[in-house]
Amino acid sequence: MTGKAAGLPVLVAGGGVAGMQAALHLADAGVPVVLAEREGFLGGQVFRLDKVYPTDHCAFCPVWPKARACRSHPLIRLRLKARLETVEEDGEGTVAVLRVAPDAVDADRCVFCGRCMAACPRGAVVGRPDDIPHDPSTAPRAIVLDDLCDGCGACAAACPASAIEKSALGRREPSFERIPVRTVVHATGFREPVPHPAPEFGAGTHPDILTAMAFEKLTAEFAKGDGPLRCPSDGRPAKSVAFVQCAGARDMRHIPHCSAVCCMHASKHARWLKRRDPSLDVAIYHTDLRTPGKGQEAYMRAARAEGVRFFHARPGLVAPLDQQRAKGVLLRHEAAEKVASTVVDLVVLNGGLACNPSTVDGATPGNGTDSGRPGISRACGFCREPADIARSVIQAGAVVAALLQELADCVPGDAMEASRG
Amino acid sequence: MADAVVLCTCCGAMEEIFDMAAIEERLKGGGSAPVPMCVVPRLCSREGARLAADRMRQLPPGGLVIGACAFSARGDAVMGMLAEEGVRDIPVHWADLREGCAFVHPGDAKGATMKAADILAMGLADLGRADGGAPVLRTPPHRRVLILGGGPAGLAAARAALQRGVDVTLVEKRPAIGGMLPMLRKLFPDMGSSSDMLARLDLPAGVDLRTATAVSELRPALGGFTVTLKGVKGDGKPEELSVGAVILAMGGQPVLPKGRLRYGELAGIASQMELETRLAKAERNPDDAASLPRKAVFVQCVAAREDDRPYCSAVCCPAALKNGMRLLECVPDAEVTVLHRNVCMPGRELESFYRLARERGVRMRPMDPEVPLEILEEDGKVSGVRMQDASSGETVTLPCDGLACSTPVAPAPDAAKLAAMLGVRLDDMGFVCGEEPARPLETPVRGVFCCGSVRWPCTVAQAVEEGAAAGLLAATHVAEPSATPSWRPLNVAHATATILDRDCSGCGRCLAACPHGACVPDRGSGPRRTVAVLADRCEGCGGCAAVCPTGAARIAFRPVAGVVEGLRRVLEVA
Repeated sequence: MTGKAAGLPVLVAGGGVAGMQAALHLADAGVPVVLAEREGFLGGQVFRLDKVYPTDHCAFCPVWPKARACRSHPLIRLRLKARLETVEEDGEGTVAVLRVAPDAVDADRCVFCGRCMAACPRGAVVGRPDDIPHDPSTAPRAIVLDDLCDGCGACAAACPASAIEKSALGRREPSFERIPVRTVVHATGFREPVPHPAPEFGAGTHPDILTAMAFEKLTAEFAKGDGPLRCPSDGRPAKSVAFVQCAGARDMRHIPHCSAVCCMHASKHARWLKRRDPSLDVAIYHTDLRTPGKGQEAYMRAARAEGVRFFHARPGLVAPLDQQRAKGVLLRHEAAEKVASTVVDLVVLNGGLACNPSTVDGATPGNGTDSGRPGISRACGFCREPADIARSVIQAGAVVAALLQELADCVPGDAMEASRG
Repeated sequence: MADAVVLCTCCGAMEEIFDMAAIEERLKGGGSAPVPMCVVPRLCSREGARLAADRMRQLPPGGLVIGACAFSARGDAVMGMLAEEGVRDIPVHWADLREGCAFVHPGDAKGATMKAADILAMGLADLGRADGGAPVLRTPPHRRVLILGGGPAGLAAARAALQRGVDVTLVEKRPAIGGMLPMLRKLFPDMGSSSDMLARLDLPAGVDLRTATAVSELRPALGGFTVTLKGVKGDGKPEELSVGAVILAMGGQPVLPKGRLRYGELAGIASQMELETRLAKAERNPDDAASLPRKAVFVQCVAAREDDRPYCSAVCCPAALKNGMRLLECVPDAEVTVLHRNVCMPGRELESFYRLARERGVRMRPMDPEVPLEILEEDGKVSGVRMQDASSGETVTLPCDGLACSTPVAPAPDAAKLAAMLGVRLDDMGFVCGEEPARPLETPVRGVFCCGSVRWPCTVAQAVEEGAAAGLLAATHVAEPSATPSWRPLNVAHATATILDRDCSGCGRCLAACPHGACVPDRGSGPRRTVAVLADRCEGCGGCAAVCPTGAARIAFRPVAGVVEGLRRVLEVA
């Protein structure tokens, strides 16, 4: 690495909990950071969670300070609605190319007064995306939903802070930003693949067959209001809920790895349901029940004590019943080498979380500490190895520690001086 | 003192609700001199801040009440810009008039206006009392990190912290560093050698290493902690060091399967750790392979995941599968069967390791934890295991000439003592607690971090990760802050506890109640033993005040006097 490269930023791709932590560690060590997040807000999937295990506290509170620190750190430059397109070597060094989605709102000018939202005739300006449960401070600015906006400019006219650029409204073409960087840290997280990787579980065939993140939204405390848990299909109160673990995961045809977080995720949902209505029949169909983390086994035992039923059985089929004749979802599974069938009101498919792909230098993150060429790119969080919040935070620290060492080795004393200066 | 009010209209949003003239009128409070008021259209913009600063310069010096959005919305930006425009280090009271008033009373302009005026009046009253409280002085931490434990976690922490340019002292009670590493010859997941790992983790020059050294005292002090070190045998002169941060990395210890599965009674029954040692011997010297079992049965979750020890130790499944593969390599015609309750190999790396072990011939059999295993013997030696297969329900007998019990990892023996000295909480199992889930390596006691198996059982690879992350956190904690501390409004500043010497009976309940290690026995000169609060450690939670029987401990949330004065003034006006 040349002396010129020494002052360049490190690009962190992904503004979830791992990416934010990596950015903070780097910036605290005096290394400038560009933090690129594809969504319009920091926080990643954690902000789609209502509560988190093992504390059952709200997800927002422990993670929000990290988002706030990233926003206010003098060495972190935030690029929202920007995803890493590619990383190039141009002879002089490394260049990260960001694909920046059109963003009409200038985050620095927006005062979040909400007049644009009132002014928009199409409901295209929102305070937060629909699937984010937490409140405005998650995204303390207006977000223009590109697919609803027709570019009429009513919001721009209503904005008292000149934070909305009319000419950028309704613009579908992304722009590309080339940033010379020292290196890239990947923290692109996970997603629930669409369509679901295992068709035998019936995802998408019936509203009462839900994925874990959809169920999170359905049961989230902020959204549930009063009364019983209702089936999305017809609104009748659900009397039985079944969680199908490893749906599509640990399966050589679909996703071979274990997603690591789903046993606890299902236990969490099951316990909420039992708290909400102790008479609800809640069953978890699992293969291996994996609760090795701090406090996890105790959490799972508590779920059992509260009446959640655990079955060591791998379902092979989930299908809606003929809705004309009977309501419900059929679950066929094998237990003690016998095939059994159960009918339940709601089925939650857990597992099969896919690492978000990184297009960078053809590397798939997830092979050890380095993804792709050592020293060029690194990965932390779920995109490297299925991880919950705590593991992601730890991995980010480990990756940054190794990276700082490497940067210091390249330019002796450089990172050290940067950390002092 | 002439205090002033700066009112932000938030681009006009506030004017739509508030009647600015009525606010000014009400602030006069019955004919006295008008309070200098400056209305700016957007205080969080450069122009707005400049406007306010220009107006402030024309006024006699005094404090400032800022009426604007909630401090969490734009407060930091506003304070920063005012400081850049030359208004700084004067008492400021932040009045939340937007989220806290305008936004919550959209249909009641008159009421909202009156409320806004009252909030501002209370702010002015608070300013009047601004010199009543002592400022909280934060002592910069000592630039040295103390690491307790020289295993993989501690070594990785030392390297990471040193790299960040802070001083590092590593204390290990054994004569050599390495922790558990020398006992493990091959490491999960790549069967890499533990001596290579140890070489990679070897301490860089510059770390102050103390082996065969014990901590005899460790106590919170201004700027961090004071630690007293001495030789493990009580030899040598005690030495006192001041450090800014402490990393707990004492590791864990394997539980022995005493009283379980006839361990210690019959020959051929070992703990997984003991088998590991024998495998290492056989790998070094193939002649020793003759003593290894031909038909081995590994039993998982022995003395774990039960009422006494209700946790999964996380490392036993990887260790058993690793040793199964090693046994098959040393004795190719051997049979290895692992009896398990759940194969705990979460994630990608562990799952593929599990697949590899099965491909290599390690057999897995689920057992029912409710049905005890029966150990069969022949001439004082184990000859088989009778068990119920949990998937088929059948009872089967597995002949074997060697049985290994996978037992959990328990916290290091000195974890409880050291944690108690620091006021760090342990969980029910005796492991150190971080602030799960988002700050797993940071304990609630500021400046105390944890990593490796003293936090929770973990593999060597995970211990190295946690150590490196904890090293960075500790270095950041003791390094000079990268940005200058911001100038904060009085009412959003940090609250801390104080303990009035006069009323303190020295009962010490606050010492136990404080989760942050901020209450310490006062070593002052007075005749009675009292308690002092370390201001730079106190989080203002009020735990001490809640348990104090004499009322000596209280939260010196500075504006309390100001709040009372404010209420008095507002109620009088009304």
